[in-house]
Amino acid sequence: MNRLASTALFDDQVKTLEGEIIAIRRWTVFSRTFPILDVGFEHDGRSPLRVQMNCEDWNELPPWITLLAFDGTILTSLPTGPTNVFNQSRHDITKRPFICMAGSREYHTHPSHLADIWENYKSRSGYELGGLLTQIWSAWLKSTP
Amino acid sequence: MANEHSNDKHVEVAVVTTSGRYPNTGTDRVPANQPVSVVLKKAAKDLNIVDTTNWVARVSNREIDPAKNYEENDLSGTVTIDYGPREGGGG
Repeated sequence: MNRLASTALFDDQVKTLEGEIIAIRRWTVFSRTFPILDVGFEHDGRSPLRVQMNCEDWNELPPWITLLAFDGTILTSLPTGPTNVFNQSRHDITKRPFICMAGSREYHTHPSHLADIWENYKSRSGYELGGLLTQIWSAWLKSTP
Repeated sequence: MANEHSNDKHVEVAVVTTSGRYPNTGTDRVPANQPVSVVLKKAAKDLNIVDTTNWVARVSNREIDPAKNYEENDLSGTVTIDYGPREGGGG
């Protein structure tokens, strides 16, 4: 996908990440300048979490997703919980714990999921950038605080 | 009489998603005994959300049941519904 088209799609999908929706969810947008979408989650009684998506090649390819503390420090261990979204093992490429969910580059490049291709997801509702953030946020809410 | 009174009740409702808001501004006034799913379907159509299978509706971080009406979900007054996909998961 050419960079202009990728940028245009990115901009179209992040423009709605403002106002009521982020206030209700207590999200903080740190960056929404292509190719980085960086959003923090807060909730009473939980350690805040930042989800930084590198969306180069969006949406021909899914974003690389890095999890950060609110101060920008890369997390070396992830929240635990019942959803399997937060994988504590080191990813072969990033060498870090990762988001193990359709829609993360880490998932689709993991040897266990190579057959579960992004092409089957990228046009589905809930797999645009806001949808991916929502899925991670939802898993985070269910994780151990 | 109780039913007549109940039928007179309305709520002011808006649906917010990461794809946009329904209605674009303000709220829809709907009967309190109307299933929540009605406004969610309108929102999905208006916001071009094709498939809401596995989506979840929340109000004040509480998951609600779209098949039930507003009263049954203990909702009244002005209601803002946060609507979005439930998490996937690879394992």
